[in-house]
Amino acid sequence: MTAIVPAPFEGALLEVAELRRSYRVGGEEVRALDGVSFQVRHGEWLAVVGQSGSGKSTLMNLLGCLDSPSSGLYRINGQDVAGLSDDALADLRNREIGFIFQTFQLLARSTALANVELPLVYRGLSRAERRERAEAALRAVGLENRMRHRPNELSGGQRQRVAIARALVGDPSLLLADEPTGNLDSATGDEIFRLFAELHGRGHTILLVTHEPRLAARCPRAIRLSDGRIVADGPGRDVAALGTAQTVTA
Amino acid sequence: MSDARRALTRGWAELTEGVRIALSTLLAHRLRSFLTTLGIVIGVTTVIAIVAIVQGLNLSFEAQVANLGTNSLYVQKWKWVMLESEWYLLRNRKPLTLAAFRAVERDSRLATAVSPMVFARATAARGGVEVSNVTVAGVGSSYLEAAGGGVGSGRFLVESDLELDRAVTVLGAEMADLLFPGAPPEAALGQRVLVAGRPFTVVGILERKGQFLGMNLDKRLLVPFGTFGRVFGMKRSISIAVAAPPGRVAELEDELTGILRRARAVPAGKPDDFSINRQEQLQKIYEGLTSALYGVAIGVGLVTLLVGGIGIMNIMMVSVHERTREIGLRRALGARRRTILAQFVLEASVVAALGGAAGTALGLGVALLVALLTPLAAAVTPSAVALGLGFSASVGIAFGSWPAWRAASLDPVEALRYE
Repeated sequence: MTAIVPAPFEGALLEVAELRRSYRVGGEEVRALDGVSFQVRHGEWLAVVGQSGSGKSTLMNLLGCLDSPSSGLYRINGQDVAGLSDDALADLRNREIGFIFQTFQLLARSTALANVELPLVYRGLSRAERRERAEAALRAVGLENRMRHRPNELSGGQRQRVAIARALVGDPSLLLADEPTGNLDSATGDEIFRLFAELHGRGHTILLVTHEPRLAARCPRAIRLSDGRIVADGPGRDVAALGTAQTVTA
Repeated sequence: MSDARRALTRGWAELTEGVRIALSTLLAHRLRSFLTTLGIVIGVTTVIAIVAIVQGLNLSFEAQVANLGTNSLYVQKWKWVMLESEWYLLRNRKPLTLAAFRAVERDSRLATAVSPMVFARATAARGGVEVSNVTVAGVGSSYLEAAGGGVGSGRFLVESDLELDRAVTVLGAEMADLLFPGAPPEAALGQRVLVAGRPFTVVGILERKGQFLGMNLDKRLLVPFGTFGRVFGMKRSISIAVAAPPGRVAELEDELTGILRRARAVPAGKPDDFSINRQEQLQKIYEGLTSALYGVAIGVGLVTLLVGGIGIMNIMMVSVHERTREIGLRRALGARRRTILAQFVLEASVVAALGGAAGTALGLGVALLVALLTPLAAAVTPSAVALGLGFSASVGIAFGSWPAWRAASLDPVEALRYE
């Protein structure tokens, strides 16, 4: 076991080694993730690209502590996720991960403020503290005038900003964004992307899962997955270009 | 310490968040929530109405039974409450005679008042008015102290009335109304009435007592015990009313048993050849009847609440299904399984409790309406309200648990992806 686990990398936020996840589908074993190893340092901005079925979603679920690996190592902030109870995983998600989804996943009947407060409810903060931090997070994404609005009173871009505020409010170590611009028009998508760049500039660690090489090209670093394995890991521009070439030849 | 504090804050935050979500879900689906709670509303309405009416009946029965005197014992040949088989045994008892009364009067140290009682039915008349089927009671001068009651106007029978076998009478309140229609009670005093064809002078009128188990306690007249014997003969068995000092009824009963066994020479080892009756016995019978009614009410209520509970379970299943992605999201943001479980149980309980509150209000309304429109009484007691609310909330918890458990055991990945 220790043989395949590399020594902890100084300053690494995420340590992933030989991570595997397989499912049984109709008696047949499907290897969604087949031995993935990489590390992410504090403050890095990393894109994970790959076509559908490449293992992106599986990796995201594992990194988000929503799912447990079949084998291999995953450490976040020094904490080994293996063998944690369901409750411990829930607490870990609450502390360490800020999720941003393609479909925003806002509670339709709650105001922007209440949506942003939600992670803090599960952290056990007092009402006053929740309110204060949620307002600060909404200000940070430029929605100080939309705090009392419900999702159906907001534009798509504004909704995603609420979702980003909700991801930021708990001050997690990792922002985990799954196709965050996928449901937005290109102008709004760009706006959201620039917001990520801004957050990166402020020192947040961001992992962006996308199938668009165009977005990956603008990230400092990208990982390309194919058939559950890492086929490229390097500067975003290079990894994205490789992807475009592959798409052209295919 | 700070961990415990944080857990407490978290619990409170989750609770208020749960209630907020539950109420906003209810408001978002007003018609659906209304239809869902209807079963609970009907169930609780039924139970509350029946319980309120039964409790009202109990109170009015207690008031009626109190007419018999809470501290009064009645020594009689017959038992008030008996089995059919006992009737044959009791029939053969020797009649109770004046000698028994004398023995009690002489020997009882506890009794505060003793009076013989003997009854007949007769026709009373005055001028053109004739009232048939009147209860005529021959009693002693201590009758009111022994059996309870009071004089409204005039006086009661006195010692000399009894010694001299005077032809005087004290009228029940309704007899005064019937024989002297439209006249004030005082107008009857000193007047003559015919009882079983004999003239009697009215010396007093009793306070109104009302009904007792369908008997009209005011349609009667009292005459001196000896005078009764002259008119109706003395062959019948008498009763003896005895009053005990407050709280010493059981003691008095023991003492009377001893006195009467001696007076009637009952050999040791043989059963008593007389009965000592008291209001408690009637109350026990009555409580037996109403507890059966309670049983029916609770049975009906349970069946309706079961139906209501299934309605709640159904709608909660729908709610869990509709909000699969919300559940996934909450799990992703750090909600534990039991947080989700608690949220949905809470939601089911809020629906059920609102239904319970509406049902309680409706049930009390129905009971009050019944009390207004019919001779039945209704009593609103805090216990009935607690019963209604408690019942419905537990139905919510019981029937909300299964859907809530389903919600809690959803896989967060699957739930988030759910379309």
